[in-house]
Amino acid sequence: MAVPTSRDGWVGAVLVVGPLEFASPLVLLGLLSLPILWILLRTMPPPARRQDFPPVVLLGGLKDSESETRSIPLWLRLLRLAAVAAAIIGFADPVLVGEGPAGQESGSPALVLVDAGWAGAAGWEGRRTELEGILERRRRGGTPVFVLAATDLPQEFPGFREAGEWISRLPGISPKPWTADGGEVRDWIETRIGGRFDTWWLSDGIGLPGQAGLAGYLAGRGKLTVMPPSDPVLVLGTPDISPDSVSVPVRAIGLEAPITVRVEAIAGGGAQSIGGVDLRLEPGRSRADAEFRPPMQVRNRIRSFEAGPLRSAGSVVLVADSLQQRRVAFVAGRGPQEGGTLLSSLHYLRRAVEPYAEMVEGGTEEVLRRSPDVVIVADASQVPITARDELADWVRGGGHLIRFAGPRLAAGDSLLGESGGLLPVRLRPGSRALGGTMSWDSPKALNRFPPGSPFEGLEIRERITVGRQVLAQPGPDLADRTFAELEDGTPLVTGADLGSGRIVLFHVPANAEWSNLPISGLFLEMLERLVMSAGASSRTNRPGGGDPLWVPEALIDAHGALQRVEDKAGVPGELLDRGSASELLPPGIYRSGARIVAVNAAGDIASLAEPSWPAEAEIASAPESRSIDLKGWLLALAVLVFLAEGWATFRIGGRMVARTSLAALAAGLLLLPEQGWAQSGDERAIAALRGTVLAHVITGDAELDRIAKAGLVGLSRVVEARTTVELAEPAGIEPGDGTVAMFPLLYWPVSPAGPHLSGEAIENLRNYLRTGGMILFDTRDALVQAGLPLESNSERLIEIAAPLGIPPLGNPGRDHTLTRSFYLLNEFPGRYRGDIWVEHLPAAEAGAAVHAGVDGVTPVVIGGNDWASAWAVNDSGAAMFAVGAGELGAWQRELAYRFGVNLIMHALTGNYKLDQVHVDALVRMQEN
Amino acid sequence: MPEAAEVRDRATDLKRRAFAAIAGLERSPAAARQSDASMRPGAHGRRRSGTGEEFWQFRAAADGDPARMIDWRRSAKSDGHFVRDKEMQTSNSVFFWADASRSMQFSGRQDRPPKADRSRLMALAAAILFARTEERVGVLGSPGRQATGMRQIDRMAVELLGEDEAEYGLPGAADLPRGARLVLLSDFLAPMDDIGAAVRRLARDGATGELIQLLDPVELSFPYDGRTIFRSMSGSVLFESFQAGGIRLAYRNRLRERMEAIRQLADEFGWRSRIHMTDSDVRTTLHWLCQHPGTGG
Repeated sequence: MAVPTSRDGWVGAVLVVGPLEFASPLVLLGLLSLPILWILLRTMPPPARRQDFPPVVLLGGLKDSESETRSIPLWLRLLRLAAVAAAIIGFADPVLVGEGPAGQESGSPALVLVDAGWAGAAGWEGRRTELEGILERRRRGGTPVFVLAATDLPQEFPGFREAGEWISRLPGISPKPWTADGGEVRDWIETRIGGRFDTWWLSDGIGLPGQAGLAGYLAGRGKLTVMPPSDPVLVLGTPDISPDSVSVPVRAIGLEAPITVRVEAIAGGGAQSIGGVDLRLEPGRSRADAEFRPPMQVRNRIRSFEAGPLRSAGSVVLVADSLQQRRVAFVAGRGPQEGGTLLSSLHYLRRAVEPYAEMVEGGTEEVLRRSPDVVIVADASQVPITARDELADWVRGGGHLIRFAGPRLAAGDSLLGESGGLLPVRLRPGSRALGGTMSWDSPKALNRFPPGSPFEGLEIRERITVGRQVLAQPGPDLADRTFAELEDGTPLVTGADLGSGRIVLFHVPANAEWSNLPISGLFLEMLERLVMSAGASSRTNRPGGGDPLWVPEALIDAHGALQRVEDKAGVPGELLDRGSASELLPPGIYRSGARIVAVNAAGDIASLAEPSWPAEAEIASAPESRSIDLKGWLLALAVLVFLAEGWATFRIGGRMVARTSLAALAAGLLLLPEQGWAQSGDERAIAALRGTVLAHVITGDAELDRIAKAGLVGLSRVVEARTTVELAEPAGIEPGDGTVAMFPLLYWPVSPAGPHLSGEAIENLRNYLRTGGMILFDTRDALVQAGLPLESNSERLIEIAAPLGIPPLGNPGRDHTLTRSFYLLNEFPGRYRGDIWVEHLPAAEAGAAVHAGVDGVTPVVIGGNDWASAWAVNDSGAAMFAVGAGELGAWQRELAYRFGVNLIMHALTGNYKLDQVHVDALVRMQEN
Repeated sequence: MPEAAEVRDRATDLKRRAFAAIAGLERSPAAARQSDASMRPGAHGRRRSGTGEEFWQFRAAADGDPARMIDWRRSAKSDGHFVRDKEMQTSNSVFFWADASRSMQFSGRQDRPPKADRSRLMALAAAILFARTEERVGVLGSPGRQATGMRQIDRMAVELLGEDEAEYGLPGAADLPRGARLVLLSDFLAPMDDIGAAVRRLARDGATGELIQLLDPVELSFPYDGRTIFRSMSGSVLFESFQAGGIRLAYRNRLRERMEAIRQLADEFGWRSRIHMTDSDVRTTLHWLCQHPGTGG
């Protein structure tokens, strides 16, 4: 290793030697010590190995052949020097600065244009390194540079600066969740930068509006070098919603190699994935549709679809409320109805829409004010004449009105004329009765649904008969308006569009008086179709217009993360109508009054294209090779050489030296930056393997975690003192940690702020429960639970537990293993005395011998008794919190501990203890 | 006395391993045939009349023969009276010396037992084999006399566990019965003159015997290299080499000389000698030991 000849000289504190740069060149002075080391090593004999050897008596008088062996062999000396030299050079922070794509330095200043839109977010780190490489090279060339982020144009042009200055400012440049406008960028450059300059364009991989103009302009001002991204851009389009499926278009722009894309549907609240679809995209086939068929209840909760890998704002599509619950309004009658519930005309309707829709009831004006998607009028007389115009207006504005016939509709001549606008077809006065005592006909059955009807494809499994109905006036458009008909072709359900809304009429009432349709399963499906289609049509219209201001509720950043925002200025509706995201309209969810609309970064994905470049532009095929930090490698080399040297010394000399080398190796490994091995999870796993370890979930609430930890420490002490179970120090783990399987019992204090579970975490926990793990969920709210409706903790628990696949729960009976796995217990108090829930066992089997498949070991125990607080002890072993008062309190704490002991026994021994322990006591209990 | 308990445990363990060592020897059919032919120590016919089990000869009754000695069946065939003589049978006494000096504590590898362990095991296993055929066995120089039977084996197991503080071991002098047999197990690394003197003293009484030299494989291969300070087990003898590999051949020659010296010493009295490496099968040497029961080769 020659002492560097400083060709390029010193630049600041940095020494540049050819392609090598040393950030701490002073360390290199250490190389001067090498000759001294050389002399020292030459005179030093190798250390001796001491060897027990009984036949040593036979050795007496033998002579060593050569005297040279008294000092260290030459090659070993060289090896040691090499190691030291490598270490010294390594610590001088050498960086090998790679050469970029060919290109002469024209001497003109360089403009580095970064698209910095959402499309570049996926590979942003790589882009930044490339950017750094470009700047690095300009710096060495001494070329002044200006870095321009197209999405973030500054007010003024401060002039070209030295490249080194930009390198420190790089972290300030980040992608934005919208795309730049090529025209604007061009204007900006044209008006502010004069003279010739070369341009380096880091493209995001999608064409900007005005792209060609900008590129041509830049090529005219100097040399244009384009650096396309290495990865394709993955975008999701607006979901296509049909009554029974949601299909999300996926597209990869600039795809060069096949990739597998996973599209996941994300539910609101906890932002959990509720299902995913894997798609394979190939260069020739870069578009596909991800098809989801979620059940209605699940579908209501979908907030967005996300695609990965290559995540950016474009690979997230928010659905706002187009998949959300529909609001269904019932125009109810005034005053109590005659007759029983089952005769009520609204009863069957309520039951039908309850599972998937939000229901509103009230007078016409009242319900219309709450902007429902669907209004159901069971009988016309309940709509006051004054409100009819209002209702008609609402339908024209996109509302769906579902009406049912009834005796009053059939009878009312006056009504016909008046409500002509609110009926899909003209009705003949009166109704026809089939199969009655006064009729020749038998009741008619339902025919197959005609094509084009919203009910098309529904299967008619039951026999639907109609005994009485109102009849439509025959007309030329009657067939088109018929959604369902009887065997003889009589329309049973008719519908017609009015404005952008729709009116649907069932020619029978919504109760079972005239027909058995309302009490059939088919009726549910028909209503579902109607309600769901209501949302689809009313929401696909562009929302802007009348609403003056839309306030952002949550915004997406360039990397696709949705952040809730408050106090943001609203945007005018016209901007939303234009649709595409921009700096003024960042993508996210906007609300105006009751209406919610989503603005997505990618917008219309069909219009996105790869950028086109003018012929003069040079396309850098490979990304500019980056600088390589040699420090880690050199130090690793030094360590390896030391290791080899140690081995060699061991061969020549004694064990002691080998140990020293190993210590040096260990020290060397610690020095390795980033290339070292970080293993916190492993350490915890190793700790867990050392013994039985109780664990609690780290909720992120420091106080809660401290109590949980202290509680488990207290419980561990009691368990150790009273049982043969030996417990190691309790551990805290992240809920989805893969090492969760190491712990027999997980204590989970639930808090509203608690951790949100990722898909992977949920999978880990499910596995954990499936393979015999046990979780004790503690909502710590038993006090409030009793009196009040569900508290937030319990709600949070439901959110956490829902995806875990927890079996049906029940209160543990007198015979549950938990009541006898160590102590005999009747209740399971903590700081509070509330009920607990465990896996529900059919009563017949509880306590009896274990049934095949049902082993009686509950995977979860849920309660709100705040056990950790009852168990918690401080460092000196004293209880941290008061439980109850006086003797009774002490007894309650004791019971809490006993519950803990039983729980651990249950977790460790399963149902084994069920019939084994306390046989005597149990027999006595039986006798009493 | 906790030490007594520990010694008992170790003795039991030694006995268990000794039985395990000879188990294969007896079970294997080949070995069984062999033992029919050759492994017949124990009561040996002395080719003359005396007390014993086997018929030796009829002879005419002489004066002093008690009447009950007369074989009436033989006598009835002729006029004289005949007496049935039996062949005289005696038991051999076999003495074992398992060197337990410091040098025998050496093992060249951690998973290999020290030489002393092997010497004890072989001594006890051989003793069991001999005792089964009614030989009298004992530990050389022990206060207890030689005897046969399992109780003697138990006693021997304890006696064999004794340790010798000397750097290199030498068999002690003992008052041996006539026709005794000696089995000496040692690494024979003591000064050759001392060994010769000790063995000659023992052989003076006409004892037969075997010299089994136990060595650890590394003592044969000398796998050392580089600067090494060799020392005896107690550290009393030191030798430093700057390049141990260079003296390997010289050492091996010295060792070979010593082996040769031991063989010659054995030949001097018509004894047998053998090298046993601690990594080889103990049964080979046991079998060799039993092949020629004390007949002097």
